[in-house]
Amino acid sequence: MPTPEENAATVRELIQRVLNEGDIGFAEKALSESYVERSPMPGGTADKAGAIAMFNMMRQQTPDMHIEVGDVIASGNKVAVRSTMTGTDTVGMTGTPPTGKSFSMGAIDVFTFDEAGMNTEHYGVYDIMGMMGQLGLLPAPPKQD
Amino acid sequence: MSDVARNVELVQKLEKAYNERDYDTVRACLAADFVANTPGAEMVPAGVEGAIAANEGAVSFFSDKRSEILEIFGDGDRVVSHVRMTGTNDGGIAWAGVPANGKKIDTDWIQISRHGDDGTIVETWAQMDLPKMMVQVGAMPAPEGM
Repeated sequence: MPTPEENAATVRELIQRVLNEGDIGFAEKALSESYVERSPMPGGTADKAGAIAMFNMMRQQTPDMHIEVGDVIASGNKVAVRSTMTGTDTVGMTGTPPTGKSFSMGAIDVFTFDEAGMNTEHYGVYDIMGMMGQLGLLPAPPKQD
Repeated sequence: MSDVARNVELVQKLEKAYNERDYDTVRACLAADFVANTPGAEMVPAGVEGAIAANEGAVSFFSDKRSEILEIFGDGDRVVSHVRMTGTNDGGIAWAGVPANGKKIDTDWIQISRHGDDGTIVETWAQMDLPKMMVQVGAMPAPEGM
């Protein structure tokens, strides 16, 4: 049974190796075969394959992406992380041409682990609206008289 | 009771107080120098009164607004809470240019709170699934594939 500190170390390694360095193979090892993604990307599947597709998409969409970890809170089989993702929109977000602008997006994620220390579940909430605003991609609100 | 258990209990008490608009309890749960690090916090006054104003704002958009803690845990001086919020847009969301339209919202946020030695909340960081809510009230198109 891993300690909360060991689970926290796995989350830090997952963020650093997979998202910051593009070592997708580490995600193959760290995510359980029965992994459930509670915050799948639009059109993505909620399983391990869907999560790995999402990591690949994030790396492709923002090749200079970097996640800076702020708080890490671990208790029992749960680990929460507060982080900031920065990057430059050089490739284009889904359906929009690249703006060349940089962004900084706040995030909070919660990971669940099993008794073998495998990551079995994840959900997260991201300041997508803030990021879209920084890139100038927010649709104008409907007009009100 | 451990400090962590006390802090978790305080977050539960605070969420209940927001639901009941019991602002004496809200004021008792938040430290005098409380700071909210939340996107949109710049739209309300700073500190404790800003937290109350944000809750009153939400009630003005969704008069039947209810929040429910789905998951909560703590470590050290921090507590993590995953909260679901439901309601009906019967008041209109002025800042988003959305008129009252009777549409239902069902969204969630994750909050991290930092507690002082006396257990009161000194600082919070929160992220809410705002895109989901904006789609539900009809202010944004649903993303492709959903």
